Amino acid sequence: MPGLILFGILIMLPIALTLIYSFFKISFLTNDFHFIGTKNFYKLLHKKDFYNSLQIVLLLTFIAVIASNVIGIIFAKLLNHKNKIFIILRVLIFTPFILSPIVVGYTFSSILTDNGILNQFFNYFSIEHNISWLGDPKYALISISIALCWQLIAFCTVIYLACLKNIPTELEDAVKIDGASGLKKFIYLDWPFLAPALTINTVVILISSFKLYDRVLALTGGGPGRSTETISMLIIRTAFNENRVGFASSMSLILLIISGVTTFAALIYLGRREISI
Amino acid sequence: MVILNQINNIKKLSSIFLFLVFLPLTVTAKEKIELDFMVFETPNLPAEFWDDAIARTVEEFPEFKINKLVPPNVGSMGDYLKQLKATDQFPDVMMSNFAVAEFIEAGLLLPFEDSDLVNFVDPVGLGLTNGKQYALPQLTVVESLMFYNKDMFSKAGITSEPKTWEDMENAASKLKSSGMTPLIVGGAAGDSWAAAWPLMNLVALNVTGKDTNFLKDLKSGKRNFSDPLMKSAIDAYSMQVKNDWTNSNALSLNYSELQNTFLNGDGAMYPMGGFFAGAVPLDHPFEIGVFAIPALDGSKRLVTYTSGGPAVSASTDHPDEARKFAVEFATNIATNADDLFRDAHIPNNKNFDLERDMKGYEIHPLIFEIIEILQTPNTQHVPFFTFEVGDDALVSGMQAEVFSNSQEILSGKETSIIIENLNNKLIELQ
Repeated sequence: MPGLILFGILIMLPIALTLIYSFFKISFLTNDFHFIGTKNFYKLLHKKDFYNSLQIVLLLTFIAVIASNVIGIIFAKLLNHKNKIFIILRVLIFTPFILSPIVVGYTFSSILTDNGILNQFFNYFSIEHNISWLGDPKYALISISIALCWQLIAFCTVIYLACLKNIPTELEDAVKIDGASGLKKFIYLDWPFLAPALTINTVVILISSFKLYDRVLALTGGGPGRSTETISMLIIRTAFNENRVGFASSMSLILLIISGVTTFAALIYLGRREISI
Repeated sequence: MVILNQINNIKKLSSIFLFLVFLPLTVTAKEKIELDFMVFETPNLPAEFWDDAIARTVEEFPEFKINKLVPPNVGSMGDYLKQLKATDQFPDVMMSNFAVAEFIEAGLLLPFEDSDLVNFVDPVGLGLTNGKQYALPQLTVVESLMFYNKDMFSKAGITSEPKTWEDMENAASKLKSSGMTPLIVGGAAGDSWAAAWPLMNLVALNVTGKDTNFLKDLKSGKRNFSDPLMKSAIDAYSMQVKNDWTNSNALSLNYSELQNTFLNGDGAMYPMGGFFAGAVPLDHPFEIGVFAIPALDGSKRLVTYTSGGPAVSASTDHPDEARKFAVEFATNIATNADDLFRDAHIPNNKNFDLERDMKGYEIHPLIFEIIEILQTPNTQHVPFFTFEVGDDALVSGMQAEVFSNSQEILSGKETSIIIENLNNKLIELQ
């Protein structure tokens, strides 16, 4: 019962309030509440900025899901040894995940800024280029996805590693006797055992990417212009810069529905796949 | 039983003793008036400046206990205040370094009394709303200034300071053909306000300063950003980018890096507010000059901002004390002097005497040049675009749109797209 009360207060109440707010015109400055029905949702249909942010988030999510899973599996395979060095490496590789996203954002900002470590590295080796990693809209999104994936890869690696450890030694031996190695061993032995990890990782990546805010804030602030503004940033700007809390709530609700449906679909699809494998 | 009674007596005695010991402390604590005070930190005005300034004010009024609050960055002060308001943590006093109009309109700020304003040279300052002053006119900043590298100018064969917009364009062409970057501009991430600095000046000089009805018409829907005056102002900024006169790294520089780019000699001209003078060391390797950015039509206009002092929350528990603190803070001579030295904020204090009160400070000659520009006769002083108050104030959210569209200009977007973006946002917010 206490758990249910806590769940209600911390999870259900904010969702319910967001739902209620989305039917009102609200300003936190004046505390004015005016019921306007579904007008906020109608306005949202015609809001270019929202589609722009949605596109950005979907692109970042796609990159994060693919890159973090693929690189996570590679790292997990490389680190799946019992040697002490590998144990230390495992700890090191997990470290990015325990860092605060805002810290990661500022760290990458010092690497990717024009006078940052990356460009200084290029300069040191006399590699000429004209790339502004954070200032050029073409590269800013790539820079953000690198910072995002850097943290998510750490998480994926650990989950994949845990699943690889669960593969029974008898099966490994049988595969060896059958003469399978390399890619064949991965497809027929490792991959089926990694299925639950793929589900967990994909769901975590989807949730993290849809609500992406802090790393982007530290890296580009949503700019240049609006070229890297995620939906969470747009929501904060609408609520606290433009004083349109009701409208921002309607965006939050749509974001919740999109991320909820996507995550649920991924969970169902990947869950079924686990059973079929 | 006797033992229990004795224990009880000891308890009573110790309670009385403790009460007597802590009584003076509790009385003192009750006497202290606690005020939350929001300031902002910049490279020129770091934490120590504010700590010293607060300490000076508290020295005058020892009954105050001041809790200093600092927003994440100077450009987001208004947004941060809104978040504090939404969570019932709105400060009692705040430096008004943000667009105050919407806070006044929402009834969140307390108007100052006439008696609070007697010591200010220009008590009207930024402007009045319904005949009342809501932010103390503590200082004046000259906003439409162009700092320039004298060595680069002479290398390019530019012998005199540009007086007209054409002069400035000619100077930029000469600098470009001599292989130099004519203009240093920019502002990344949280410092998008810096990217908007040239545009805000161009609009103030050539649109809102030229046609004083423009903002009222914009608000009433009679005009929009497609107006020819507005188009020419946006074009002027856009042309600087298109002519390749601006630095290529503009959108990856934060404010501090932007300032250093000019100070490092990477470009010849730097459009910025007078406060930049506070960042120039006396022994800087090259000489820096300053002139007022000319209006497109040759008229003598200067963008100035007289405000920036503390504003007081309408919901503070200590309105009189908060006002008293704000007035003392804004008129403290030593704080005014330190502010002028560090950030070239010209005090708007009747009791401030430049010669007498700046003794001991080695002021950069640029600051005197800026004061001279401010005092140039027959010059129309115009308010800084997006910082207006009263009927001229822009609708909430427009300032952020101007900031982000300035970044779009720097990334090479066409004027027509910028105008469309601004018009769409205006319709959306009205």
